[in-house]
Amino acid sequence: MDDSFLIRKYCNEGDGDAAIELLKRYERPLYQYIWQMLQQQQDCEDVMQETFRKALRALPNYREENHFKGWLFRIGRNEAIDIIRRRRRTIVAEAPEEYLGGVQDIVSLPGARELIEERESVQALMSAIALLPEKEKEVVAMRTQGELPFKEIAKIVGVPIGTVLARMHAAKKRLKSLLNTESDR
Amino acid sequence: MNPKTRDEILLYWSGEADATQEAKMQVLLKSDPEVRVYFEELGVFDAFRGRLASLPAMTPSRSFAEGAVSEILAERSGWRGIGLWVSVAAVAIVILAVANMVWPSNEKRKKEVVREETQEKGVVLPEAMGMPRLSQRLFARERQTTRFPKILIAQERARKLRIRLEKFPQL
Repeated sequence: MDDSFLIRKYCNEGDGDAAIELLKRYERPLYQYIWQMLQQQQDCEDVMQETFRKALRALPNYREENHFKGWLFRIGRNEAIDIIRRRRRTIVAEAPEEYLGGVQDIVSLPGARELIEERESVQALMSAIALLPEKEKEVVAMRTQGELPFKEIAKIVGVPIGTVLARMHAAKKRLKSLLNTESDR
Repeated sequence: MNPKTRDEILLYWSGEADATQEAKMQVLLKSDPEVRVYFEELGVFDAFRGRLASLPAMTPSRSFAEGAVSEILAERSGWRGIGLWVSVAAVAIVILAVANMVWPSNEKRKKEVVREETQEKGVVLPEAMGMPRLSQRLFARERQTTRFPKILIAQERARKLRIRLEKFPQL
């Protein structure tokens, strides 16, 4: 069943199951994208809830055929931007232990050394991404976590595709330099 | 590497390149080491996606879809309930108004019965009894010219008297 079919079922027949199926398709990538932007679980959950509420209320007026994912991400992005503005651009990131899980759980496992190294590399990557300028971070998060194509990202962000590609390139360059600095320490 | 090629690598990596760009990239990836390194570095993002997706924080603690859908459906049915009551009330008002227009009131029916009975008995009723009530006459919207000749005569007399009084010399 494609998105349009589920949308029609929800709007015309009030089929709640169709709406749940539709939203669940994009719940995880949207959550990961928003988490990447906010890096704070409570804010992320608030944004998710509000995004879905707004999407469901606006769905009867939705006219963009085959672009539901992009449309949903646009709502989510606006909500996340509101939170970032409210924080006055201060990142209230969670401690790595909270999003990576506790070390004590890993130590007892076989291959604990590799797991801890993996954990450290993820942590380094997360820290490097957190240091990216908002516009670059947004493109990286939408492309990697949201799994959105660049053309769709350009529509969501409201800039030409060339600008999106330039931001991705700049982010890649910056991440490479940040991760090299980290590994040199 | 020029920006155009760089953009084409990004589009190729993302699976958005058209047939021409794709063919060009496949040639460049074999022949140009710089293009190959750039493309391989993009693989970091793919690995990154997999790594992040496995983090505990990346798994939502609950289903937001279910929560939001049940909330919105409850909200909708609430509004629908109110709408239903409003429409029922509107229909009832319309029915009462129509019924009032179609069927005469009890009072009118009683008057009709009295008139018929008295006519049958041969009793002649005074003119005033056949007239509408004073309140109806006073607040009637249309001019009651034919029905109330006495009122008209009285009004005419009052008008003439007013003119005479105006002509009367002031003392």
